[in-house]
Amino acid sequence: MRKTEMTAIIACVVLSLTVFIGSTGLGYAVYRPLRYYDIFSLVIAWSGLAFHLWRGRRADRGEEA
Amino acid sequence: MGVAQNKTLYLIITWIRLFFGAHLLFSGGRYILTGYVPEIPGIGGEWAAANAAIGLYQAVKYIEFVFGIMLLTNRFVLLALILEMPATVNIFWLNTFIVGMPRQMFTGPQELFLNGVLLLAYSGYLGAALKPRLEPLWLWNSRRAYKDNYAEQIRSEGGL
Repeated sequence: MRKTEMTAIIACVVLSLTVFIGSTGLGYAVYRPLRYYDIFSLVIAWSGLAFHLWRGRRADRGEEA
Repeated sequence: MGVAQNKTLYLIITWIRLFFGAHLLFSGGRYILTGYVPEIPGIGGEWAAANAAIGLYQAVKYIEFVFGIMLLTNRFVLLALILEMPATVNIFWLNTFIVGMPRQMFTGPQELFLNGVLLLAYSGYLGAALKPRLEPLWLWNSRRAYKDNYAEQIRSEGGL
């Protein structure tokens, strides 16, 4: 995996953790399990990012071929 | 900015766009399908109830659903971000300063962060249009604005 992609993934993991802590109240409010609302948004965001990474890699391979 | 750094930011902005799009789609879709209205304590709840009584709350939920689709399908993203901003500011203000409970102190700024960062990321297009002196120009004459020094040119032609 290239460094640019790795950096983006790490940043998105940090964003996801922020969403998790913010929504659940972990460590600062009464804990509430992650809502379907947040799960839905996280799944869509990560699936979309994975698709972008896959498409980008395929385009790069196409250029090499 | 280098291409590599651009690529990283592009991917992060894409993640945020999809997250915010799904966030709006779920929020709007849940209301449309189930009529769900969150319980908001105190004066914030009274304000939300008043909004629902005059039909504004419902309208916001339906447009959130549409904006969610626009963000997820990457169509008219900038328009969706601009039009969603009033609702975002309302949510931010209500959650952060009026309700002010610990979790709302997070969800309020989160809404403003998502909408604000995306608007900032797409604002380069707006920058080209934000000039101190603009004459009126109908949307259907917008081709006249796709030129260098368009503001001066259109002003010299009398606008519209």
